[in-house]
Amino acid sequence: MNFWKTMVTRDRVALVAAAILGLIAVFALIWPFVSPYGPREIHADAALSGPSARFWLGTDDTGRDMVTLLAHGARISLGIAVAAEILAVLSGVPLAMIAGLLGGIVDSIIMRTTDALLGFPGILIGLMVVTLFGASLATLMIAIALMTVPYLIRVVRNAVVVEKQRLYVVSSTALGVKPGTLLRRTILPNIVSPLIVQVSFGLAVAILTEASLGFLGLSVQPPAASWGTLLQVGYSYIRITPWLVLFPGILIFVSVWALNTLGDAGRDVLDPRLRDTVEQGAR
Amino acid sequence: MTGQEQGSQDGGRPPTLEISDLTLSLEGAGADPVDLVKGVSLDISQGQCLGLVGESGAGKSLTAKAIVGLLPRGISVTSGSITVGGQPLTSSPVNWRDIRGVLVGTIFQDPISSLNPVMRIRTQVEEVIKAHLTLSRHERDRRVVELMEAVDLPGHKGFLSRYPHELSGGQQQRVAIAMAIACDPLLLIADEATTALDVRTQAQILKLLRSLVDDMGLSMLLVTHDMGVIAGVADRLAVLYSGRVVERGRTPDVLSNPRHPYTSGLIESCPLDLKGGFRAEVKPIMGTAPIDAELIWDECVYAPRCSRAENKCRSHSPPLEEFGDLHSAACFYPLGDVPGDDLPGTSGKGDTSPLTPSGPVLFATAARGPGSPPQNGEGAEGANDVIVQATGLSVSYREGRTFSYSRKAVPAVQEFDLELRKAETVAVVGESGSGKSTVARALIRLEPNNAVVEGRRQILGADLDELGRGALRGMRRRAQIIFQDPYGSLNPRRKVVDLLMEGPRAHDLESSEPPLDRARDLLERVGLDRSFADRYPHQMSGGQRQRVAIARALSLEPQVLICDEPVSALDVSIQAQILELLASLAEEEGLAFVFITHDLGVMNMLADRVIVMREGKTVETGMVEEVLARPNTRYTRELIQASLVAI
Repeated sequence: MNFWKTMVTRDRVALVAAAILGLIAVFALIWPFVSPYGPREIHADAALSGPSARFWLGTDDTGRDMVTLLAHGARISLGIAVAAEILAVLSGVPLAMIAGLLGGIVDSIIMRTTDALLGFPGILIGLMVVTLFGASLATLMIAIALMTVPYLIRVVRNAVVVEKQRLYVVSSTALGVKPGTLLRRTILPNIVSPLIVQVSFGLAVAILTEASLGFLGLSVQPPAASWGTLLQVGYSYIRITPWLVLFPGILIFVSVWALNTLGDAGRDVLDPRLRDTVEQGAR
Repeated sequence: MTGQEQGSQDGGRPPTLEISDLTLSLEGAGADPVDLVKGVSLDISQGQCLGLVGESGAGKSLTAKAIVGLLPRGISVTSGSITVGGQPLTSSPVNWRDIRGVLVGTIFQDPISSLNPVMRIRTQVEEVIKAHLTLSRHERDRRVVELMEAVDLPGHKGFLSRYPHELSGGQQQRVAIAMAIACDPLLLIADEATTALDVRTQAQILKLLRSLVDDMGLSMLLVTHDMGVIAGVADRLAVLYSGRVVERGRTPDVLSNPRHPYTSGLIESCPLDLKGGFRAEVKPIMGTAPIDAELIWDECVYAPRCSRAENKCRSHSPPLEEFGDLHSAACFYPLGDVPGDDLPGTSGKGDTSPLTPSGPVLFATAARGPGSPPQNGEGAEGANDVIVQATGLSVSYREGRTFSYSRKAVPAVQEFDLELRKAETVAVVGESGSGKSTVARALIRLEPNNAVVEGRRQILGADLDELGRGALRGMRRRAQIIFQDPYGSLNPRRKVVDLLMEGPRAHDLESSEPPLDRARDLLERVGLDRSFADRYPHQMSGGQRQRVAIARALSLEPQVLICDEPVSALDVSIQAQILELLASLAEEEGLAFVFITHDLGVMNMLADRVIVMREGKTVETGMVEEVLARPNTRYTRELIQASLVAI
């Protein structure tokens, strides 16, 4: 897609970010098959050991291999984030399009509701949902989706409104083009790019939220491990074995940074002023 | 050479502004630098106004910006020199703070964006004074009042404590002028300073600028695309084309006896007769100006568009040659002495438009065929001919958000009546805010969602407000609209062939003929090459896009075209091309037109009847010639006077 190409060729940092995300994804997918240890394989003799040739990143308090745990944690953390964003897109985009296209009272109801959701700190929503429905993968996804969906609705709805008023949409209406055709041909293609950018930011928020909830003990329960739960476990031993929080922390930090960087780069490409300079040369 | 010119005029006093052999280049990343302005020499002596005229991309604004060191990033002075009041601005590092505002004052096109919205008028003007002069508080106050007087604004407290948004566009521009002249600069640069203003305001501001030159002895560089503005204000003019001065001289000399084919074409493209009055026809220049990357300097830059061009023009670049009396032009085969004796350079051979095979007079109002004056339409039997009818059409806009729509709507158009017959052209004329664009959309029920429409609007006898969705779509085939902005009205993601076939597809008018061929036929009808079908909108120039927009409108074989300022976003020479196309559509295909415009010159060329609007109300209606010759209302009279060039 042209959008990605422009973004990555224009922005070296975005390229690095994309590469890092790719590496993390490959690690999460491949490592569990390559690893000599299982995720629940306990080595009581080597509990809380530091990085060594046997355990590259050390072991946790029960003697499980940290590298393997991080890979499995990545599957859960990233999996929850991706699933939550898919949920947010599936529920948010139709709502946003309805709001943008119909306008009037429907628009007001949808948008004021999202405003209300935005009024709550995200983590509070997460806490509420998880305490109400219990900590499970499904509730986590719903909680995280609920937190990111208002931003998504806003962005998409505004894109729809802007597009709807464009002269070429009016001109197509004058030609007698049906509203459904207009939606498909002009409005949808134009909201795809801002949507991708928003989803990129949303994923970063989702990873952070999962980590926070995990740290509070509200994510998946041990022995299952997400990056957040690994943080929680490691926190108890932070004075003895700081690497237990260090490595999951680094992974969370790096993936959130990469997603935000990608989102920023995408937004730069989408900015009409910047896009003009790309199209017209340096003039 | 320039020095001698000045010397003979001014008793040896150095000119206020002297630009010699200025070259401005764009340095691209990795690529060879491109010269955007090349070898430009200009000078202005004290108390003189020099008009710098050219179309977009000619380099006129760049030249002006170079004087105040505001060149865009990547563009720099690569050779030549600029001096203001004897002080060189290009050699050593310049402290621009001592130049801008002090030696050179600048006024830009858009007054509201050059004023700080959160500062009162007094504070804004004072800021400039404080920045450059040390005056006591009392002196400063006096100076502000003086300046206000100089620009014909009230100097009292109430006015000075207003904010920019509380002023009209003309008043804002006057404040901007006051700020520009606050520190008695030697030179005033007006960069399209009146372009965004309404005709009447424009005329007043031009008068003010001229009086500043005459009374205060300022020198002025007037940068504009509008020959009419130059004709009214400038003592001398220089014509820029693709970064080169192609002609310069005293304004009356150049206007009455242009030597360069481009200058002549520019004059002939102008809907105003520069000797005062409106033209019945224009003679467009064919083709388009080269874009930066296409500039080739070892030929005449104008050769590709010039029908007088010979081999020499394509291998050598003509130098500026003196024709005596300060008049010079860069052309190997300059035009003769008598204006109009031979002007093959503007049309005729090399004419790329298939629509105008015949002589130089492309169209005239008198040539409009049957049905132009609807004098026979008094009886009821003429009703069949009525294509668009509006009776007591009023449009108002509700403001605010859904939950708080104010009960009272803001009226935009009140009691608008129109009866448009077959093959007739009605112009709706007015200044900004007159509601003319609202009319254009409301006539075919395309008004925005928050508009409330009252009254009746009919197309071919069908009341649009009583039609169901399907029937409305069907009726829309008959009446198409063309907008001012050819950039916005075409979807940038779609190819021309798809844009052109969108209408027929929507109406299931697919025929046995392949869509590509139909699109190509449409392109030919609007004077574009058949190969354009494969292009995207961004691969075309403004004029070409507007032609595509017209072709798109024609794709459904409508009976009426509603044109909302279809040429005002285009360069003069391109504007003339499009006007010519629209006129030929009216004449040859019998289309009816509703022509929304602010330009009386354009109205005069195309329209049979005119409706003058002001603040939503119809002020005057009548046949165009009648209204121009004997306007009934003071407003119309003022509009006409302001539109005409006052020499």
